[in-house]
Amino acid sequence: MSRDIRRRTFIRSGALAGTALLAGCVGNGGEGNGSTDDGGDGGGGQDDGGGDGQQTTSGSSALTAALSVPSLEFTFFARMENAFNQAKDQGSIASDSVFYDAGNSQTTQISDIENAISSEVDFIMISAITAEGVINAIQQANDADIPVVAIDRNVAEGETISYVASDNVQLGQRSTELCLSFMQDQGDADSYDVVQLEGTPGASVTNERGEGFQNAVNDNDSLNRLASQTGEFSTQNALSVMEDFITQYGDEIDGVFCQNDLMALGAHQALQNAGMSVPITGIDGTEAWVESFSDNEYYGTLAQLPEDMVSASIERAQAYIDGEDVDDSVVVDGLEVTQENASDYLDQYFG
Amino acid sequence: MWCDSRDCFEFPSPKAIITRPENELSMLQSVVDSKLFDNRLTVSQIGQYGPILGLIGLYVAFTFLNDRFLTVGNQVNVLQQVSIIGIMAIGVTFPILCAEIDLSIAQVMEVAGLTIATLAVGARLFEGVAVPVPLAILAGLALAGLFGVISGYVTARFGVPSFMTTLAILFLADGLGLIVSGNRPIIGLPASLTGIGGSRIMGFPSIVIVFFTLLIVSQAILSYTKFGLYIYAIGGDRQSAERMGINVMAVRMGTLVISGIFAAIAGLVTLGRLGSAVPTMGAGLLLPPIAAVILGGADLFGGSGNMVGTLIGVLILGVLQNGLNLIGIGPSGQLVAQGIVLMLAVLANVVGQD
Repeated sequence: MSRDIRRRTFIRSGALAGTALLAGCVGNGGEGNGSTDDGGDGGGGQDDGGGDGQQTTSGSSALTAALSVPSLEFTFFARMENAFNQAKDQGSIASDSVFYDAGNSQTTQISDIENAISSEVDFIMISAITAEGVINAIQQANDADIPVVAIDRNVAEGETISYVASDNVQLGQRSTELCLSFMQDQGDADSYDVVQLEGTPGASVTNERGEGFQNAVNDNDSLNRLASQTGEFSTQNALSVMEDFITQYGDEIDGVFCQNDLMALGAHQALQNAGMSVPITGIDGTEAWVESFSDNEYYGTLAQLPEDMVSASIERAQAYIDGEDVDDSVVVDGLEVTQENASDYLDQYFG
Repeated sequence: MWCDSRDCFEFPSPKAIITRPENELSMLQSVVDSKLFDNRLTVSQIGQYGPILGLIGLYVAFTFLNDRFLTVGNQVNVLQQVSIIGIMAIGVTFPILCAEIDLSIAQVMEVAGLTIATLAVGARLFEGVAVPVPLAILAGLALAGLFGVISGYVTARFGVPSFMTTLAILFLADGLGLIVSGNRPIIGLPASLTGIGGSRIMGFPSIVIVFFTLLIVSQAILSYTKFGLYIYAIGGDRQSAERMGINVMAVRMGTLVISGIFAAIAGLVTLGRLGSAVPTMGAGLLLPPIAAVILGGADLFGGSGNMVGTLIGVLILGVLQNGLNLIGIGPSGQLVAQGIVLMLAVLANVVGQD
């Protein structure tokens, strides 16, 4: 009997733990979607950094850095790692600089930072898993007088010398305006009707990129917002939504702006099935999307460049340690990728 | 519960009658009959037809609200849009009828699709080892079947709830999917592969044909095979079923294998629908299929339900989304509308069952 009860308790607690876990992964899924600004894509990035730039390490002047990222599961952060290693090889940071992959675990990330502090690095770059989860670790770094740079994702509290990231509002606006210029190239008209595919409702990325889209619509008299609907950052949802847009608006649609490139792939598929050809622009610089540019003159994206974020962060930290003033936030501009520079872009970052 | 178990038991396979020993069969029938009897006494007629009435209501409403809703083109679109969720829902109906659950369908769908794509193209994990398309498909289906075998065996043999074993498979399959694909979309799939889910046969989307074929086959399995009969018996009362000499372990395992393989087929046709393989293609595809099954009137705790109900459930979800998109309701409004409709639909089911 007691055995039975024990088993039942076990099963019940198992189910509880399971539910909690499940809730956890559902939450994680959302988070994952939210961070498609990190491109669910991208290059396994070849590590050919060692081949070029054999600059000699300039004596002892190079600083020791630590870089902590949420998870190498996102190619975006894998590219950061490559850029970090390249910086090490080129001597812009010391060769004993350390890279930490937190594997999506907030506790791991905190101990990573603590390890970095105890090994007395000169500065820390961190892309926080959650803005709040790293507060204590940042505080410890502050206490040890080690400067911290927030990279791509900001922290909620604690002293950071700078926050280096893309500006999603700006990315949204530039991508929408790229779409407008494609529409103008494709044919002269008084006004152009564009549909928007949004990301996961409520995610900050969605709101910011949506704000950029709205700014573009407000700034350009010839640009009209025909409709806007969520595609949840997913190719599949974007495909279904685009089919419905085509049913409802058909030839009225002059262009499509997607808040990420995965959705642009879905929009492309729907338009192709319907035998339509209109400009589509996305954001992120996902490999598969850029590869489709070769057949489509009026496709484009605004690529986020993690490499530039790493080098900008290193620069700012160096300047700060040298006693210079550093801006609180540094915007790394997205790179406009179209058919013209698509192959260069692919060679450089995904070669 | 509409179109209840009666349909499924009125015509037992003749073979079953011949091969089962007389007493065993009558015991089985008596379990079934008592359940049937309960339903016949208590089911309110309106509640019984709740899901189909709900679907008709949605059709009427959207037809009035939007003049493009009830066009052939749009209805074909709806069928196309629900096919992937529909195939997964058919698959997961088997474990649900058997009082099990499969939480791994979305990730199994993903990893199977990615495996098929990478093998067919010879990219990523399988760099340079491209295999013929049929072989790649077979490998994907086998992998998914294997997941079903693992979770099914642990569940049936050791009594670990399928909630936990399939949750474990969820993580396992998710990780494998990332490894196989290198977490990057795969493009340039061969036409013979994308044709399965992305071509048109006499103007009709092939993905819908796959969906309906599987639907018919599955309903036939439930209605006309011993296996189908056993699923209901085990879902209704596992202990009685065991005492009757039904091989409970094999049937429980079988349902999870089937749901895994159906998920893999969903992954396969997704390749055609998207024209590429995207590592996140399973995102958000766990709950809709399960919701569709329950919406269609199946009992979440097993023993009753059927494939036609699942089809209705899938259509309710699909039509709702399509209609809301057409009339231009924004994302937040859609969520609210979906919540209300779901609540009403499941309420109708429960009222029907009491």
